[in-house]
Amino acid sequence: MKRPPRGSPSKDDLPFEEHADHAILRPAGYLNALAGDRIEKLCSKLFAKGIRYIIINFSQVAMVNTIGISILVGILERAIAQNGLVYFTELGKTDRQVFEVLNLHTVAPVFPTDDQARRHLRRDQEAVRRARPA
Amino acid sequence: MIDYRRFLAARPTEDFIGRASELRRIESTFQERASSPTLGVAVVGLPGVGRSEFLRQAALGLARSPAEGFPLYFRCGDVIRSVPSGGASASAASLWAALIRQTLLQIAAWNRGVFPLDPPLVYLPTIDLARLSDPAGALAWMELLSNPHLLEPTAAPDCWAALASRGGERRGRPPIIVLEGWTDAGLPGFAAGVLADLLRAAVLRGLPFLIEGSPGDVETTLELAQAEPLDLSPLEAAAATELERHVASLAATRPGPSLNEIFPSGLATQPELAWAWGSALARQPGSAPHARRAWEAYLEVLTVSAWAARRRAALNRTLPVRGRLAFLLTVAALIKDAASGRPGGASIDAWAAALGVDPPRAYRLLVRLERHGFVARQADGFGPPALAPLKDWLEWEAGLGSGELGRGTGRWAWLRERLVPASPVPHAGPVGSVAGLLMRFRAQSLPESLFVFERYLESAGRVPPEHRRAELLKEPRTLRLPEILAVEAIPPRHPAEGGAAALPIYVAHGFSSGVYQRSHEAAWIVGDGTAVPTLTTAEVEAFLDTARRLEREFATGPSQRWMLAGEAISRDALNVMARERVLCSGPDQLALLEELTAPEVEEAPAASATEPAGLSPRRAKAGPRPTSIVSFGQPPGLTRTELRLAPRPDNELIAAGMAETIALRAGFDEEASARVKMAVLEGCLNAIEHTAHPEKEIRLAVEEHPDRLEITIDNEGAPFDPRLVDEPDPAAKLRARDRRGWGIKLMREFVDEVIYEPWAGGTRLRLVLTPGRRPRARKASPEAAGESP
Repeated sequence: MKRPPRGSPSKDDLPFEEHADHAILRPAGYLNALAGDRIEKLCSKLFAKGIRYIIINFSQVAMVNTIGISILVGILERAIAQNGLVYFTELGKTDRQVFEVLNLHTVAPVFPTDDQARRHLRRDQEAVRRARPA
Repeated sequence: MIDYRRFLAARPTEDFIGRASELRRIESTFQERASSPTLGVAVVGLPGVGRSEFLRQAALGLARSPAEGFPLYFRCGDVIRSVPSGGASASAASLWAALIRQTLLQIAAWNRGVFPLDPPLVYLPTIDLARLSDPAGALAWMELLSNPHLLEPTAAPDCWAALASRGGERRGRPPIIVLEGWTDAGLPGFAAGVLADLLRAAVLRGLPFLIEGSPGDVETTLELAQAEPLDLSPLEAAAATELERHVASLAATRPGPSLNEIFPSGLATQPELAWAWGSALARQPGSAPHARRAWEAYLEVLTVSAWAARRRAALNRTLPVRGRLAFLLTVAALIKDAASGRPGGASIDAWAAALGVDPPRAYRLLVRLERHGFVARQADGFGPPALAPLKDWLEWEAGLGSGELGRGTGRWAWLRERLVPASPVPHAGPVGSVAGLLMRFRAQSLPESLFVFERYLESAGRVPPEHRRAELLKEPRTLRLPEILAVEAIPPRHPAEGGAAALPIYVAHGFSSGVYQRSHEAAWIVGDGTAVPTLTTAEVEAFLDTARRLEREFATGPSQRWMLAGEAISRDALNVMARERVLCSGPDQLALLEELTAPEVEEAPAASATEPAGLSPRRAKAGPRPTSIVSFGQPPGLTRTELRLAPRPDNELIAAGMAETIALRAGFDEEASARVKMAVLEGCLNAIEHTAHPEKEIRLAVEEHPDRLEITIDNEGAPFDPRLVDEPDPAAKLRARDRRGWGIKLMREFVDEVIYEPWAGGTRLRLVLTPGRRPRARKASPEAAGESP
């Protein structure tokens, strides 16, 4: 997918795909506080519906700043609290470096593609199901 | 209870400088009166030397000390003025009645025990008759006081003396008769006779006395009353300097229309004080409004004061009309000679020629003039007096008489010449100081755009610096500056919490158009914002509030307001200043002002027609243009690029983009340039977040060094201490309430050096990147590496 031009503003509507047990969010442009708030609000709605697994696809994200990262960490914490998780996919080189230097990859899985993230999501769901008491 | 000195209208003791030995002598004289062959002391001194005030201080000392006697103080001038006018005998009777009433009131006050603390009682028209020892006699006194024409003039002195003695008997110690202004040259004839009889009566009764007079008058008194003379010379240099300093400090700490608030009798009756005040303040550039009022007070002393009237009366009595102007002109010339170092005296023959009389008559006239202090005897003749107020008064009268002073300009110039030191402070003040620049205002006409910021940008701002002066001087519109005579610095007030920086303020006083009259007074109120990197509406509004307050305090009416700006001014601030008609100058304009107002201004070199050196095509490829901030920095150079941004969200993208572009240009690879971009993004993000005011700006500078790339990000706001930010731990951040705090770590990982330092009341962030650096390797997750789980 072609990356948007650098510096382009985030779109007002946040594209996402809702599935039975997970959702894929595709934010675009500069992932700043404003964009992070949109993501957080959408995730709140999804959590309220019972969707506990979120995949955030970074293919359209031009840049992310640390305010955006702090919002993503908050979303991750809420997902974990519901026995869910947030996965990050298709990070650009720089964004991947950001995740690495900040050690975010130790708490949030990062995958090259959405499919790989889904496969890992299924394993996580199975692990959670097994961990439930009979 | 009220202080006795209020009755005396004496200067507060702590404000009376010098004369300590003379005061001690007074006290010891009255303490040892029994062994003294004389009854009293005559304070002898030239007019204006401070006799009256000395007398009051001496009376105050006598009232306080346990010495024998208590003062009965008579201000002869006041008592005489209270007498209704009439024939000589009627006036004399009325004057006796007034003196007796004064005596009764003071004795009653002392006997009540309210003295030394109850002076208003003394001025009440009624007295406590019960306090008098002879009630029947009191009725007689009442009748006499109510009908002074019944008072037998020949008996009045004895009546008064008996009364004064009786009052002393009740107190167990005699009264000390203190007569201020006893030898006042302006006394009417009947009054002089009454006072002389009073003193004689006191002597006959053995009552001690303290009087004052000039040398000629007191000579008669000495023969008559065997008074001991006490010469009051002009203050010694050390005491005079101390008086000047003390007066100046009083005026500085207690600003007001005059020092009358401190000195109840008013400056008009204390010429030496007025002169000390005027000359002390005129020497201090920081006391402009008080200096002006000092001049006015001193002028009042010299012209319309009672002191001046008495001097004039004495001169008129001493010299015939035909000789007065000649005498004034001669003594004024001698004063000028003395001031320039030449011998200030003239021989008797020279005086005779000047006055148009023969030498013996000239000598007699000069002796009489000497008694009044108008001349001083010298080895080979007579010269001008030593006292500054007397000299000034003589010169003033001479100038008036000759028409030299004229009106307005001449008078102010004359006054300024006397009160401003002979070696004035050079017009060019310390380089770079606001006060120094203001003192260079000497009614020049300068290009108006030096004071109008936006016009300067339009005209000279686009021209290379070395040609700006020439460009400015072509401008047809000029501004005529006033002639500034004094500059006062107003220290900045503490800003309100979260408020704008409090700017130092300067108030400059002078005159416009070279006319030294009230109608041409000019005042400039200057706000020094040069230390503020970005001037915003907050600072401008605070300056305007201060300016309005100062105008109310000084009652100078509307002043010209002038704001000195630092490196940048917000658009909104410019709009406010335009609306309020505030002049505004930036650093370039101020530098040109310094240059154009310097004492010797060299001709500007002719503008070169060739393109100024230093421009290169690469300048066109400078970083992104600044947004919403008016700035007038230097054009981007080869190795330094500057950018100024409003502290608005997402403006960090502009800075980050510029940094990446420059990094690429400087030879860094894409990965390194992207890291620079991220580091700058985070640095600007923090700067925007911590900037104190939306009109402030963020300043970015990228310097391309041979061995490194150095980026500075400056913001005005609360200083930032990175040590207060903990190293972020992702797992801990998951559980934490505050999930911020990633930026510093990110910057430290992406560039070589991250340095925070204080800057202009805010923070400077310095980022340094060297070529070839790569971020530290991290053990990435298998998924991130693209491997299948």
